[in-house]
Amino acid sequence: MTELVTQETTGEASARRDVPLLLSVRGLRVSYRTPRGTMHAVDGASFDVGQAEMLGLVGESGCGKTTAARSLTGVLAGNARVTGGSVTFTGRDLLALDRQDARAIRWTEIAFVPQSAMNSLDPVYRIEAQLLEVLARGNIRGRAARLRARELLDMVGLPHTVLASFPHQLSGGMRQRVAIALALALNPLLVIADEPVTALDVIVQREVLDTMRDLQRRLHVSVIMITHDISVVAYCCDSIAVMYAGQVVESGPSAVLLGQAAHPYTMGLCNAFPDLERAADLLVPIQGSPPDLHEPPTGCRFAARCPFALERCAQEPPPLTEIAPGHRAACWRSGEAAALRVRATEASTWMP
Amino acid sequence: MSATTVVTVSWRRQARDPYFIAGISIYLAFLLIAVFADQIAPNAPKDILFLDNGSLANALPPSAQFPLGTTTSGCDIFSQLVHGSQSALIVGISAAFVVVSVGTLVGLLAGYFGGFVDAALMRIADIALGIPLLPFVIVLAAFLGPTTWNVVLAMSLLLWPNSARIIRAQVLSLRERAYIEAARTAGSGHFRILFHHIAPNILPLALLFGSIAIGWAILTEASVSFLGFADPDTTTWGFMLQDAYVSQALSRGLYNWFVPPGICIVLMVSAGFFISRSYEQFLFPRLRD
Amino acid sequence: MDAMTDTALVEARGLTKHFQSGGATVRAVDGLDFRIDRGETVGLLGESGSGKTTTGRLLLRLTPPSAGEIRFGGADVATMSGPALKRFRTRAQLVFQNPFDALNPRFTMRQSLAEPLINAGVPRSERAERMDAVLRQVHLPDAAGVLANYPHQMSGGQLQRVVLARALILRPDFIVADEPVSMLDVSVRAGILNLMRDVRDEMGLAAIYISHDVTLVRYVCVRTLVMYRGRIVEDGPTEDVVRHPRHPYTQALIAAVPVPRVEQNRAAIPLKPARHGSGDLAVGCGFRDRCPYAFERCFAEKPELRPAGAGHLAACHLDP
Repeated sequence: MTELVTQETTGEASARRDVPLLLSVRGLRVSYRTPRGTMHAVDGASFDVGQAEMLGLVGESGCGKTTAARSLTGVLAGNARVTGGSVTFTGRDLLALDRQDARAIRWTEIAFVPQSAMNSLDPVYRIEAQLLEVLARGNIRGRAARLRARELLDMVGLPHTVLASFPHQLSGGMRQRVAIALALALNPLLVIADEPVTALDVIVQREVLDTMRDLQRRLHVSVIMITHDISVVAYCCDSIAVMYAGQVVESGPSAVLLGQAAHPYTMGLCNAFPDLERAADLLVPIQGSPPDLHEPPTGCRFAARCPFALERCAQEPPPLTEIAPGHRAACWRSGEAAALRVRATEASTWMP
Repeated sequence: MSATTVVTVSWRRQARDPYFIAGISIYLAFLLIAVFADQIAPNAPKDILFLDNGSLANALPPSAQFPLGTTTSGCDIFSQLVHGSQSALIVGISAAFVVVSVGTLVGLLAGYFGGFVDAALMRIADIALGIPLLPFVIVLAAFLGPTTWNVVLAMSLLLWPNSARIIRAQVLSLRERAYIEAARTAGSGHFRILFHHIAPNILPLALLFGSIAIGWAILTEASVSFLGFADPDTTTWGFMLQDAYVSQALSRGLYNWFVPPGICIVLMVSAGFFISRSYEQFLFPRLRD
Repeated sequence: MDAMTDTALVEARGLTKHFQSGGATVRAVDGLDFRIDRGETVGLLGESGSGKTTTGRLLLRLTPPSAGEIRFGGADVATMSGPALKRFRTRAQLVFQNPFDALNPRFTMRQSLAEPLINAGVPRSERAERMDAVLRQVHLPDAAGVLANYPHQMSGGQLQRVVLARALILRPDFIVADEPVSMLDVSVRAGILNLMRDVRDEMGLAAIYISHDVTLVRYVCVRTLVMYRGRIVEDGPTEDVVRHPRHPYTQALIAAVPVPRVEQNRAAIPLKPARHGSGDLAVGCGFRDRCPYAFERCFAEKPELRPAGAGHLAACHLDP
């Protein structure tokens, strides 16, 4: 069975700031053609993923995180188009690849665990067949494939009896582990997991997160974990990128971003997550709702809901700038972040 | 994270859909022709006509006087066609109306109440489905006389199960929706829920069946007429086809006789299909992400 | 249990619900005993399959119990009919999980809010005023604008406020809220939870909040019931249950919740691995397959709820 790596804080990982970058996304733009017009789902997102690093891509529904992640694998909806930016993966520009090459790196170098992956397993095939199918894409067949299938199940902590089962015979947590096994089958360099634990119960969620964290460490795989839950990223991610209205508004090592947030949206998000280990303080909502991405506002997108907004904020969009080594924020007032953080902890700041 | 089901009640978009326009245009065209049949058709459909020189105007090719020519008995094909649209619409609309009303009501009750009511209604539906349509029409015609209304009656008695089943399925799924339960906790009784909440959501499906049913009814009536069991006093397109067949129009090359009624039947059935096709987007709303 | 006092608004005794599934009997709810006093907010905590949603539906008589009884204001809920049932429907209301599905998509907000009023026979003249009042109560002051909208024109947070408004419009005594915020975005949840706290304080409603989210229950509820596989395993003041859980399942549950800080407890949860399709639960403790402390008695005898602190009960054979 797996040995769980406990007690390691993410401080060590964040110290490896000089880790070579596996993936570098700059100014990514993805749009959808809808009956109402063009929807700019991702409109200038930039973030990095280092070698053997777990990045948490955090944001609420509609912020563009899933779209951004899917564009990395080249699997986008029919009406979606990448309209700008660059994605550099191990030195190659992913956006410039033709369909053939993009298809080739899927599963072998970049693997995607879709949202509610446990429901995306084919119900009419046994688990072993599904594992073998993916292994065949990497030209692993026959005896070698069957051995590898067993090895993968060991890695995710499932008994070999699962091989003969159909998806509906397994619990949600077990199916999620199968989805993770499928993603790791061909030793990819990067695994993108979209809301991998959202649909799971708390205890199962914890177990799956522990498994993912342990595997990530042992296999030196990079992971992008997409979620809306800050507690989950705090638990297992080395670094975090916060997305809002199609853009990355803040990114940096987990400890730094959560402890010294520099963007008001991040500060607001932290207020919205209750901390079980502390007293039941007042939860403070962020008033209003995200802007309509069919007609994105000029200037900072969070300005309408930001308690610290200046006139400048509504007119000029702040660029994502490095305010400390490895810590980037897109806010005109990031220099006053310490003072703003104090004010952000008070409920009255967020009331209209 | 939030899944939104948006039912776009967008009549404007519906009205711009080419299929919808095509279907509605065909119906409207035939409706106008039927209403103004007497004005449009130069002759009565069964009148035996003579030429100026006194000879029977039979099997004449299309001309200025007879736009589609004449039958072998001397009747004006064009007038028959025009009057035929009247029966077509009467038969089609009345049969469709009854079939849809009965089917919808049965589907609503069976789907909502379940249990004994459902079982009883569905067994009756099975019986109706088990009886073959044309032989039944023939038998009914034999007992009650071969009138158009008896054909409508026969169709009404046998064709409602299809719509009933599909509507029942829709009701079964709607019944479990949260807002129906909300109505129950708000104190609404069964019939209020059925007719105030569920029925409006069923209506588009019912209308869908309506548009298809018109075409089916016309087709069925044409089949019955073609087999010779139609009302001899009214002129229908099916009757024209039967007449043409019996008079060996094909071997005589009288295409102007049987092709037009055939095309008209095809148009009416297609119109129903076009309208139902345009309903798809309305009936099966997309999940907005 | 000791004698029920007059302050109990809702009482469940031996509440049981069985379902038939492919020949096997599923014990969704298996002999629940609990009470909710007037004005008390109780949390019902449990994971999927624990039977918590079924319990909520039983309480509102949306499904009949297989055994046991529920008393509301002293009267047996399952046997109510006619005017008594109508009255019950005005006194006990439900707040749904999915705000996008809880309102009829073809109705305006006005029509949806009018429904309970019409059914309760509230005269037309009064309806507008009550709608305005309840919308103000849920912090949607622009009544005219909101009432004219259809569900697809509103955000999740607004919709959930309307759902709450619809539940409150008849001034009920008791509310069942089933995962009221799980489908809302995080930054919106806080607003709805605060609203629920306010409503709790203003109206003195009794309520039961059904959720798998410990932090939600802790935020809104004074007392918490923990359910596992159809049974209540712990019952006590929320702070006590969260800080000093007595039942091994609750202990594992609390330990498993992540917090939004990098410095947190990452110790492995000491549960034995879940086995799929464990045996018949009729005998013994439902948690025995996963419990790290299970011994022979746990397999033979079903543990009853026993005192484990002030007002705090736990169903476990271990001594506290």
